[in-house]
Amino acid sequence: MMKKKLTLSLILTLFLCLGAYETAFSGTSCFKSKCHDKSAFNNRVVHKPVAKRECNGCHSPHVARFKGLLQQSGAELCFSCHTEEKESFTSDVVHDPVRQGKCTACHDPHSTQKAGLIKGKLNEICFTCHNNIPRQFTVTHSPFKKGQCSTCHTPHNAKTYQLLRTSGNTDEVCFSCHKHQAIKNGHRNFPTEPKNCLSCHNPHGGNDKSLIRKVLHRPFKKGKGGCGECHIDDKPVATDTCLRCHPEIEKEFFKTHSHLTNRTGNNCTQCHSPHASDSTILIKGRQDQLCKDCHNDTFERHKDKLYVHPDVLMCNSCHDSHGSNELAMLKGGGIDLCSGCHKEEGANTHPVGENVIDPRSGQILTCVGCHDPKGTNFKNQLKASGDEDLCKQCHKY
Amino acid sequence: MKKSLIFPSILVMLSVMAPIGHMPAFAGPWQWQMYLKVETAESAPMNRPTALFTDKSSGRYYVVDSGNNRLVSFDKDGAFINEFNAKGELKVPFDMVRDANGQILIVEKEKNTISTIDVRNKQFERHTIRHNGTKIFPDRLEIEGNTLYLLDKSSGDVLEMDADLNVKQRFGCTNCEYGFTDFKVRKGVVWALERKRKTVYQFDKNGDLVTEIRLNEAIDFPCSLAVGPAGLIYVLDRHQGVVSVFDRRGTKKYNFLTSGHARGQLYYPAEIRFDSWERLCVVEEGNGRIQIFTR
Repeated sequence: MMKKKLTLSLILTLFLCLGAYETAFSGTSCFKSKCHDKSAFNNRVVHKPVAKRECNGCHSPHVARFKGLLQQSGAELCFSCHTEEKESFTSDVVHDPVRQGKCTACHDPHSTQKAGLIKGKLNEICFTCHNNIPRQFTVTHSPFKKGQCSTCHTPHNAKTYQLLRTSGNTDEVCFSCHKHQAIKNGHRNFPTEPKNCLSCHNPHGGNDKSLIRKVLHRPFKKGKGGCGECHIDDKPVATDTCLRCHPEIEKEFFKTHSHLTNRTGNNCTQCHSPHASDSTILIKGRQDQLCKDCHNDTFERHKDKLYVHPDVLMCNSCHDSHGSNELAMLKGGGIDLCSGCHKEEGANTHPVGENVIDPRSGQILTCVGCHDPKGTNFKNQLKASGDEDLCKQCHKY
Repeated sequence: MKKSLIFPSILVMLSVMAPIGHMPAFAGPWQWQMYLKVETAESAPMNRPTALFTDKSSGRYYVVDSGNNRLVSFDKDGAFINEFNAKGELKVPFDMVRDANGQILIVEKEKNTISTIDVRNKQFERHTIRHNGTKIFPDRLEIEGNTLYLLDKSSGDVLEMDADLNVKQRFGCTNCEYGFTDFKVRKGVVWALERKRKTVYQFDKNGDLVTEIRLNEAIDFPCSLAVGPAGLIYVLDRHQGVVSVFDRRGTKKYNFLTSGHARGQLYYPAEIRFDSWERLCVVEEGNGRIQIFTR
């Protein structure tokens, strides 16, 4: 009996020693062999598993299915520890790299000089993708100038498409620094409480300290004297007021489908800023973001497709933004519109047009009979595999 | 032994027949019944139809064939009867109803009017509607008894009209940004669909809001609704090509149909409604046809 107890305790001790050796071995041996330079892992902020020398928490020392001898791919590996983030990063609008599981686009998995294991200077990381934003303006907004993108934006997910630090109302971000009285003083002749700051102000910078956007609506440009052209007392400005100067637009609403959908009194200001904008047609923001506000489902459905139409963010290349008699408010029928750009394909294609009937629906066959222009998982944005599956829908044998 | 063979044989038969299109499309408790389509040599196929009206007294279906600027009639069994374009006068018709006197009322989008056609006296007249000085943009039409209702696209409100086409009463939602996108009237109750909040509003005859039914998030782009005889709410999703069925609490019961061009599939559907014989009809703008389902 005594012998048995002794053997058991010896075996246990041996296992414990081996375990300790294995833990110590896993981290230190990577550096001891001088294959991996230890100093590269000794920056100010060190990822916890690295600090504990637990290399095998992420890497497999001998063989692995993923590059870098990683045990799992992409975000899956990160989320195996960061479980709370896995859950919270799925709600509302998710930043593209997060959605695609590319944590290492911004974070270094080992060590960096920056908190949150950010790879380098924050704004430089942001600009690697957001390279269409000018870096400097005549007057640059202070947080932007300092490279403090995260003062206004949140990097993972948010309630708004601009990933602003807000519960939904974009003004909250502005009001967190700019106090109520100061805002009122800056809008002395405003008929209502100033709101929707981004519709007139560029939050990154502008030509003067008001950071007003560069294209001004003609009456607004006139200054105080111009307000009365649209505003009568403090009554809301109705759609008819806009159409008084833009009568040609009204006819565009006399269509099967139109964007005449706003019961708050003015259909135009849903998309257009009545005062200032960065676009010559005075739209309120980047076109795709503006459209997303109502058509998010369309963007969601196509965003991860393997084959996507290249100008998919320029909605008005194909769609009429006021109204159209065509499906999906397109600017024309399914053949003319596509072959306007795809001239070669338009001339040498599978028979389409008035004399070709789609046997599936009995309708005239057009480009969209086989292609989904927004994007699909099949080459050339085909609706099914072009090898056989799609053809067999009509050419049965 | 025989019984045990029958079931697998049926399954095998179903799996062989379904892909080659010989099977009626199964759709939840609904079964595909027929198409309304124009397939004669003399008349063009329908092009972007947008609405359906059924007239129980004459046993007819009327389809608004918007892309061809005409109305098309079918009998109860789906056989094409006639086409009508008011001598080429119709300009982008969108919806229609027929009143008890046989007068046809049509929304003409291109003219932004409600146009009346007195078939017997061959009179065609356009009416521009205004209310409190503001222009109305007619969209959807419904009629129950002698009461005409129209959806104003601009305000998003449902309007009850009197016999002279003046606005008698408004049905609107105070908390929705965009107003209604479709509505139906059943036994004096107005059911209206709001797209962005994915909510169905129920109003009584006096225009008072009775219930607000929030639909769950499974739906993408609701464009039309119908209320079934058992009180279930059928919502048509234009982008997904799906019909979703909800109970009165907004809980989804089931989905049916899918996106595509074949039988039982939908491509840019525009309207869903129950016909006078309680069959479920889906107007497909994209596939240029109406699909009718029975239980």
